[in-house]
Amino acid sequence: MNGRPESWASRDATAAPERALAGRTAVVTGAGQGVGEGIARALAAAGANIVIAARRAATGEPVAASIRAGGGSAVCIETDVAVGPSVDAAVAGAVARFGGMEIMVHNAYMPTRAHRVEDADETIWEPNARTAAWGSLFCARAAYPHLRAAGRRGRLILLSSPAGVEGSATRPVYSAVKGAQRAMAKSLAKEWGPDGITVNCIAPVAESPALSAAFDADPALRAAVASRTALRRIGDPENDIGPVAVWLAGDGAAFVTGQTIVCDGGSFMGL
Amino acid sequence: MTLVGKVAVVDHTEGPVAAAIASALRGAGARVELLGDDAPAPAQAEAEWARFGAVDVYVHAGPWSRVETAVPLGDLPDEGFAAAFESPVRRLLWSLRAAHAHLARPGGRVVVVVPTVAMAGAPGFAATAAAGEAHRQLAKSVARQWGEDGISVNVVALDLAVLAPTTADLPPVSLSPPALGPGAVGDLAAVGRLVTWLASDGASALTGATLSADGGIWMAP
Repeated sequence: MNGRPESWASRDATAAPERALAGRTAVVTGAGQGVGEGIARALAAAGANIVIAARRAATGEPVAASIRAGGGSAVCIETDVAVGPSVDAAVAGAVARFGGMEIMVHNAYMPTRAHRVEDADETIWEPNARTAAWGSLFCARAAYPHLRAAGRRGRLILLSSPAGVEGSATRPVYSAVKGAQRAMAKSLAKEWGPDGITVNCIAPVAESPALSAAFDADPALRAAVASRTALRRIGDPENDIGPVAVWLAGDGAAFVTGQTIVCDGGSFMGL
Repeated sequence: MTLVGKVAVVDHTEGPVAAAIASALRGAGARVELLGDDAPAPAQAEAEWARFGAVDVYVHAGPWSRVETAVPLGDLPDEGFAAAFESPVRRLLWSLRAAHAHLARPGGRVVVVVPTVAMAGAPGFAATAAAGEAHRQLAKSVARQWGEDGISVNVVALDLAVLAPTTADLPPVSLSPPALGPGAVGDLAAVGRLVTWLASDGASALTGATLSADGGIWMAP
């Protein structure tokens, strides 16, 4: 061991960086489109077996088929992250299909309309709370026994938002549940650290279906949002956000936990 | 620092912090109205606030005194998450919604109390930490929305051991001891003075901020 920590010895130093996740299995919620799809494709390109946990097979299955057509390993399991037993079934399906799971990525979210807090109601609260907050609980609870079995390869990654760091003038409830995910990640990082599991958040600004729709409705918005970033552009899910998830999921980030990685092109620089 | 002629509403008076804040606000000359709890539904919140006229200061002291013992998230049942996360955040949301029509414009002040575990995380208290951070982000968002009306919204963060003095197994939020000494951690009179200042003209430049009043334990941004 030459005095090195045990985790160093467990690393596969012969794995090429582009196949750094070979043999590992990731469940990615909301992977039928947008940021989730980009992360799933990036994890697959790094060699991971992927479960596309999508609410509708109509969106999830084509992504899984595309990954398989490219030589990757992927299946789609219809999953509603707002329903605990549905998430349990997705995790059980992943373990049955691939023999275990090392990586849980919770990205799924149900967008709601812009609102002022004095106009917020149940139609705003419910989708936000069920998909972001309860969805995080369900994903964490279902994945934990398998992440614990994976030991130092266990990863929980929650997709938060810059709005969960600095508030939001247009979506206060979204901001609240995205902040909740960050606090949950910190707490679980401390709770699961003795098992070797890391828990982190990614806070992206990237071309999601909701953001793309907003850009389509207001052509000036894309330039306005991009102009507020240091890099003057909107993130690409697979090429800008995916690699960050690959890094967090791999051995190189085994000592990083409880953090929020803001991937927004340099709009928010809080720390 | 005077609040003579001002009306303040303080809720969650079952905990020790709300009583200290109410006392300090009264000491500065404010007329203080108490809400025992906040409401679980929008209509109920509006009904409770209907008895108030114009309000200058709203202090949401939060339900933190009800935090129970540590439970690993893997063992937390749905009802435990509902009680520790969903219910408190909903109640703050409906309270803010109801308060808006009553708050002075300009000059209205809102102060939301959270535990510092909202920022630090806490093993065994993931749902409580999540609720606290949701409170903080909601406060920031409302600060952004209500700023144009001249209403400011700020957060005061206290050690969870102070907010929930009967709760066991509370983890530390920092490796460092309290900079001002252990006696400063639970100095509720000092917390009352801080909230009184936030309600005063002296704090007119401040909104969306979190002030940790825990004796100097948590010092991260």
